Amino acid sequence: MTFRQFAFNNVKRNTRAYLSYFLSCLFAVTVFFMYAVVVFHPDIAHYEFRDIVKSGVVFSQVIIYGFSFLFVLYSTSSFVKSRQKEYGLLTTLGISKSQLNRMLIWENTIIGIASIVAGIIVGSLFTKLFLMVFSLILDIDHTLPFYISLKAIGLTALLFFVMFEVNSLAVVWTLRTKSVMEVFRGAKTSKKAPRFSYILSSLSLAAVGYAYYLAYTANWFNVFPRMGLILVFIIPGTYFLYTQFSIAFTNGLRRNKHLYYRNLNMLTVSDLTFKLKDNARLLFLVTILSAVAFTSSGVLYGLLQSAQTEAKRFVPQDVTFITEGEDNQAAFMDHVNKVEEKFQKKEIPYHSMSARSMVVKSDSAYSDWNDLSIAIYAYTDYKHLMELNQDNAVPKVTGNDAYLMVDEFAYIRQLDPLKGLSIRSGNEKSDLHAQLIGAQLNGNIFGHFTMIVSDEVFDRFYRAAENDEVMYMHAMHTPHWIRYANDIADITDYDFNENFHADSQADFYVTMKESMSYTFFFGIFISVLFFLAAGSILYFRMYQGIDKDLNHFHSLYRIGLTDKEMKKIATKQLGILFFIPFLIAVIHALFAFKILQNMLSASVVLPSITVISVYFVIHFANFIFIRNIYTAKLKKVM
Amino acid sequence: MSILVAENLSKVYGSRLGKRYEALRQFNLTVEKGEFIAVMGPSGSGKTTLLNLLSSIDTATSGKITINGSAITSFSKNKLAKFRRKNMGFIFQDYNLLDTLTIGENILLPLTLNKVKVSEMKNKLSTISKQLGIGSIIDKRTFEVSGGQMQRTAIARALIHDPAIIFADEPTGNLDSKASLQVMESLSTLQKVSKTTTVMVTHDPFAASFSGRVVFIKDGKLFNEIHRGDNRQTFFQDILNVQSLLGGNTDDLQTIRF
Repeated sequence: MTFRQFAFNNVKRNTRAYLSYFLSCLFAVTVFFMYAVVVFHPDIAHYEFRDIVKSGVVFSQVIIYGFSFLFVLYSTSSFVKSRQKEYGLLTTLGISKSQLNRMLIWENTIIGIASIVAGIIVGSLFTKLFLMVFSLILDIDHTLPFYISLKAIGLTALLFFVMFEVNSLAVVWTLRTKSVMEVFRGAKTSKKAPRFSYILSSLSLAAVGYAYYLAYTANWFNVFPRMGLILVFIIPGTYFLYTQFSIAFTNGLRRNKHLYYRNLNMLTVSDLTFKLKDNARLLFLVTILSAVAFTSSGVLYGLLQSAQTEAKRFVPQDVTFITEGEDNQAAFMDHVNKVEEKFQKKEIPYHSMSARSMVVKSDSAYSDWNDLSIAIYAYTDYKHLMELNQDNAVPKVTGNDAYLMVDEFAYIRQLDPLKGLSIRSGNEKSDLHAQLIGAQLNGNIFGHFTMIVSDEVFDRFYRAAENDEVMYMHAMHTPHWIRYANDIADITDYDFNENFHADSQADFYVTMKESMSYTFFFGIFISVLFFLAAGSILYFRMYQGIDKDLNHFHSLYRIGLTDKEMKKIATKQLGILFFIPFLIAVIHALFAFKILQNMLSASVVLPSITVISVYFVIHFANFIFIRNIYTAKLKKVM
Repeated sequence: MSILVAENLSKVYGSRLGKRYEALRQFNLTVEKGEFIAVMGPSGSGKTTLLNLLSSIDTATSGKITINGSAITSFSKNKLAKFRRKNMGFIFQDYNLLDTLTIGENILLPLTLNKVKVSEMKNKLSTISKQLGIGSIIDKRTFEVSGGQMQRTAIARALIHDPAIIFADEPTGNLDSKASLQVMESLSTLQKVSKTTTVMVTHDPFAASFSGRVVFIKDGKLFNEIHRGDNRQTFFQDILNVQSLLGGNTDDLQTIRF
């Protein structure tokens, strides 16, 4: 038997030990390969979104590769570490360090090549499904045909081969084989009781709590600096939650003897304490991965769903056209007529009207309100506009009363009080008692703000207005515009000249939806990847520790533990290891959704519930699957 | 009154088609209440198989075992597990303590499985741990105490729920002579005080000399049986004599340790 054969036989005859490691590598290769197939798909080149999508796919590829690198590195090192005893035995028999390294690299190469080949095969099987989903989400009218380019295979094989070699070198480099004595003693020494510090446990709770507070009270203006701060608190907070607080908590349970001594609790809790301590870092990792997955998919889905509400918020009127100056009126009307013809041609129902407006300057003692350009509307025109759009108008404005429209950001910014405001045009001047209201008319490029004044005031200004102070507005109401969103966006979204300004909800909606759906696709894909990785990390960890558990349960069996009780204990423990990270990740994500909610007017409750439910179903299925394998294995020693 | 009756017990390893190995042949054994018997024999004689069958950890190929009036050979696995933890106590060579639990918690384990009241648990724990001289270590962890202390913990665990019968598998196998003496003295004293029936498998003649009767088996069959008189020292010599008669591997003959 040559040395190479020895390595090969090691792998071949010890499949169980290598299987979980192999599967984790296989998983990484499969995912990468499916994306590579899309990148090199010939049909992708024919679509106009090519650049945007392709850079999205390439970006995803880079993230997946980087992530796989860490994932495989983790799997390799934990796999190698789990075999310390075997290496100790080989060292006793006289294997040299360099021979041991060679053996490890050989083994890793064998597994690496096997998982590349298997990954590409499995990836090919799923490619059609992936292309179907891809085509559906990107709105390609026919499904992309099944095609696997040699380039995709080559790239995957090359990159992953390099990855496996680099990883095994890195692991071998950092491997410290225990002395022979340590290895043999290692089998007998029991583990020390997990310790914890009260200070760190309470600090972890405080850090997480503070991060939650920051998230809860975040808004448009402080969200970006806060995001960094939240991460600074939440990540170490979560880490110590697992390494310190969890131990403190189980110790608390142990102290309550009435609870602790009842039936199976003692066995469950004491073993769990060790499992939590041993797996603290892993659970932390799983929590962060899941939280990232939940948050990004929830936020993306929330944004995608909120497009209609946000359109209404930023563009209150369905469609408007505005121009400034009497000289432009004729051209403007001409343009408006053309637009309406286009609407008729496309059979989009609409009602329309024209309204007068003009630009004035403001004067105020408060700097927030001084020297602004304001577009003013007469109350009657305003009322008609609101009726056209089927919105509620404010009560009638008389005398020197006025309503100044500001968007909601202005409220948050805490503006100066609106007192002693006066407006002036070239030839006219008036003091007003203005009140703030939310935006109800579309803004435009000619004035900073929009104001509703009484008909008398407006008429006085309008009569005295100079040529370039006059503005014309044409508003259209398009019921059920969502149905015609693409057509309306096409008609309204083209440049006239700088004197015209067009605004439509449909345009806002279509733009937002389009940019979101690409981001959504890649975001969701990567999120799901993170989530699956988190699940598989849990699975591999369980698989590695199963020998110890077999011993543990065999001991209990001899004393008289029934199958049913074993299942109960195992389910409880696995359940806690599975669902604690899930639960904490969900709570983290809920606060992230709260940030989003603070910034959006649309409710994100439904989208976030949907996203979390979907993840829960997947996670639960995964849990049941793994629990069944696990208890079936344990049953063999019972 | 007989606590344990085994009739025509046989155990065959290996499948019907493959190589068969008969570890135990038509073995009969009766143990009276309060008796302390030792089972001895060379390696491969079937003594551990016998203990595993009697204690229901393994199932016999044929034969019948009755413990405390119940024919356990007809029980289901689940019922057996429950029967074990109610009526049996176990002492193993490797102690079989759970290292996730403290010494005290290990002792309490059978009581928690049998759903006993917490106040009662505490009383029993303090009584038995004092009797065995391990009262001061009940809050320690298994890796903090010596082998002798671990085995006494196992004895406490075996006895705490007042089982009908105790099975001990090489209880002194991992211990030095001083610890062996302590463990065997505590076991025999407690056994006398609580009148618990004990079946012990050992190939240590010193440990066996604490019992009241030694059953020798060879090749899965009864070889000889000797009873103890008044003196443990003479009994020890008797055991050595039978052992040399029994032959077997010289490895199994232990040096005298005092």
